[in-house]
Amino acid sequence: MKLTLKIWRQNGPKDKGKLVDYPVDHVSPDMSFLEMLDVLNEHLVEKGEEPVAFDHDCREGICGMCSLVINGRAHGPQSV
Amino acid sequence: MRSFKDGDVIYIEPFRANSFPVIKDLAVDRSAFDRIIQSGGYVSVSTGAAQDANNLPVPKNDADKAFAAATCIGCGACVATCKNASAMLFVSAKVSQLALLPQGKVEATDRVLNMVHQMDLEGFGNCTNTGACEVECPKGISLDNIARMNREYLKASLIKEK
Repeated sequence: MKLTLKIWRQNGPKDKGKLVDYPVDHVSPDMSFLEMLDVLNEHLVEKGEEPVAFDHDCREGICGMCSLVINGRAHGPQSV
Repeated sequence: MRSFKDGDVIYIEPFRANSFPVIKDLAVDRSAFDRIIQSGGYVSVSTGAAQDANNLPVPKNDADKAFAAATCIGCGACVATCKNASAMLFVSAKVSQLALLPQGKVEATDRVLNMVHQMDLEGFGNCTNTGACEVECPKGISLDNIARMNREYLKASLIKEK
């Protein structure tokens, strides 16, 4: 799967922040959303760029650390 | 990633609310929730050996409602979704969970006043019963909890001046 990610980048609380385009390729449908971001970050680190900071911990909906708004919806399109 | 298909454009943004300042990129500071919990989201009991299981009978209906409220993981999706950036679903889940159980009833009056007070201090908006929070909540916390918190708050404010 080939995707275009528009990710909010903001250096700190005072920074203005903007959406930055990131193309990603070879995304498996079996990946979780956060795993897809892990792959993106790996590529960014390899290229010497700053990886995208995002909150995560248990990654299975128990701890409440996840906090992404995906396509305008908190936690993405899937609902309970 | 099964919800997406090849060629999709995906917008990824942080939880947006004045009370949740961005730390960096997609990470936001949700310590406002911690401060609300510190203001009353607990039960003061003496520690020691666990008491006998049936010492405090709890009706099954109350236990179920308290459990459903207790499933809130405090992620903040309710705040991010709410047009008023209201934290009422979160706070009401915590208030309900404890107010429904005999262990929590002792401090119920102070708890609801303190937690709502802290919620207002943190700058969260008020509830206008839109119900978006209930839809986006990953744990399916019911809007009924907000009604219960409002009842608890009204009851508490009649008894006590804060």
